[in-house]
Order: sequence, then C-alpha cells, then structure tokens
Amino acid sequence: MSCLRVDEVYSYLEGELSSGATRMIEDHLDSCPRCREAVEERRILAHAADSLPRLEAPSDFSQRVMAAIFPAKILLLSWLGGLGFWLSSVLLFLTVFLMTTGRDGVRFLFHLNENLWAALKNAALFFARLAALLSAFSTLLEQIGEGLLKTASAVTGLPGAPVAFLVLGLTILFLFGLIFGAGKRYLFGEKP
Amino acid sequence: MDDDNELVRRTLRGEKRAFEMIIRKYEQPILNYIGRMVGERETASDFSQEVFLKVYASLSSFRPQFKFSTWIFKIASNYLIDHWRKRKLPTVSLDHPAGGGEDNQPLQVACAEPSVVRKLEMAELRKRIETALEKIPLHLKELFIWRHVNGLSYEEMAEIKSIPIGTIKNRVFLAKEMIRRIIEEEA
Repeated sequence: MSCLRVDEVYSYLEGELSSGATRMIEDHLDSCPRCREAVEERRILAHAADSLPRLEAPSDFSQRVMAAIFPAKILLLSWLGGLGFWLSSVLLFLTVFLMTTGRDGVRFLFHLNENLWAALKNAALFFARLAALLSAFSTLLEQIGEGLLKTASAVTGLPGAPVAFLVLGLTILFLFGLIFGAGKRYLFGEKP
Repeated sequence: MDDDNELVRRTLRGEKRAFEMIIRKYEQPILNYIGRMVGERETASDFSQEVFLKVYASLSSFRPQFKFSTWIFKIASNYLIDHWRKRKLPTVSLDHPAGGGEDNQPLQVACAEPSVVRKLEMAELRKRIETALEKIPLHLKELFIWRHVNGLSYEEMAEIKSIPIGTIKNRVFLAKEMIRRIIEEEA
C-alpha cells in the first residue's frame, strides 16, 4: 500500500473506514514511520481541538430571551413602587422645606391639615350646589321639550307629538336652506 | 416521540415553559458555536439571543421530519451569514457553495519531519489552534467548530448547509490541514 492521503488519515482516526480498510492502513502504519508520525500528529491535534474551552452561558440567558419574547406585564407592585417613590419625594421636599424655613414641623402640619379640610369642605359644597343647579336645569329642559312637542302637535294637527315635532323640524330646516341658498345667490352672487 | 418535537408541539400550543426548555437545552451549543465564530463573549451572547428569537418566530415552519438541532444551527448559521454580509467582508463568506476548487484538490501527507505539534504542551496547542482558527476562511472555520466544538456529525453538517457529505468531509480535513500548517509555520 502506498503512503496515506490526508483524507485516509482522518477517516482512519475518526473510525469511518470499513474493518478491511482499517486493517490495511494499520498494516501500512506498522512499516511506515512517516505515515505513523502523520497519524499521531493529527490525532494529537484532534484531541486538542475537541478539548477547546467552552463558553459558559450566562445564568440568566434563558430568562432574558423569554423576557424579550414575552414582555412582562406591569404588576401592581410596580404601581405601588411608583406611588412610594412619589410619596417619599413629597416627604423629602417637606422636610427640606421645613428645615430651610425654620418652621415648626408639627404646627405646620396642623395648619396644613386645617387648610386641607377647609378646602375639601368648600369643594364638597361647591359640587353639591352644582348638582342642584344641573338638576333644576334638567327639569327646565324637560318642561321646554314637552311644551315644544305639544305646540308641534297643535300646529301640524298630527296625533303623535314626536312625529309632529319631526315634521315641523324638517320643515323649518327646509325653509332655512331655501332662504340661505337664495341669500347666497342674491347677496354674494354665488350659486347656492 | 422525539423530545425536541414534543417541546416544539407544546410551544406551538402556547406553553411558554416548553420553549424555555428548548432554550436551556441549546443555549450552550449555540453560544459555543457563535462565540467561536465572532470571538467576543458579549457579542456572542447578544447574537445567540437574537437566534433564539428567530427560532421562536419561525417555529411554526419547522417540519418534524427534520432534526430540530440541525434546524436551529441552520438558523444560527444564516444569522451569521447576514451579519458578515452586512459587514461586507472581503474574504470568502460562510455561504460558500459546493464544487469550489478546494473540494477537488488531493491532500498529501507532508514530509516526515519532527512535528511542532508533538512538542507543544496541550494548553499551548489549544491556544495555537484558536489563533490559527482566526486565519482560515470562515466557511472552513464554521465546519471545524461544528465538528470539534459542537460535535456534529458529517451528516448533520451536510443537512445544515445543504452540501454533499463528501464535500463537508473534504472541507473539514482541509480546515484541519490549514490549521496544522499555520501552527507549523508559526513555530
């Protein structure tokens, strides 16, 4: 057998050859130091290549990928965290304010509390009066509406008040359109 | 039933946990492959994450008659091809077709002189291999990494690259010979 080709060397090293071919190569290696050296050199290289250091995956790798695919919903705790941040900011501001102005903190807080309650009471009164006003206005609108419907029924002579109101309304709209269109033509020279 | 196919099926049914299991199973092999290809740990981690995002997005197109591991490596390889293409590398790209000149050249064993490889300590030899890997064409480097770092078979590599097994073997042998020659020359 002639000296080995490189592909024969690697196929032999990787056990890819038939038993017959393997035997022939081993017989050749027994008598050929050159090929024996070539095989051994490549065996060492393959072993070194197989034992190259591996990269360690970061411990949170899978979590990061999952977070990118399935973004986490904002939890209630996040809202509480945000609220806590703002509350602590207000407290910090108050503390700095009291320290720089030299005010008595307790007295300041009582004064603030009294003002706050007074403001709340005034606000409650305001909204109560507004509600009463809206209620009265609503009653007035109701009465006006009833009056209009009765008038429409009387004018058109139609039995149903809503139908009468509709007919009257459309008639008025038609007259407006006619007058306005005529006005545009004669006053501005535009076609209606 | 194949574990991977079962995990894919469960993921497609909406089980997030199943996909997390897929990630845990393949994060190391993919990171090793991409890490060796790009050479930077942080970049390799980012790229690997992108690969898994693509895997998830493409899961519905996976055909169970194929091996899931080769499918993931195909996605990773294509991702790197796009990456190198955007960088407009002047060297031979990963997407090297079969039938190139190197596939047909006869490989001869070098003259029997005392080999440098035999004289080096194993740790030093590994470092020399890593350095030499940076000097060989990307498409050969990829196959070398798949063979020796990921332990893929020639059949698996042929399936990933859609290249005949004979061509794959020849290229792996060529990669090894190039690395050996580089180590010899730099001794």
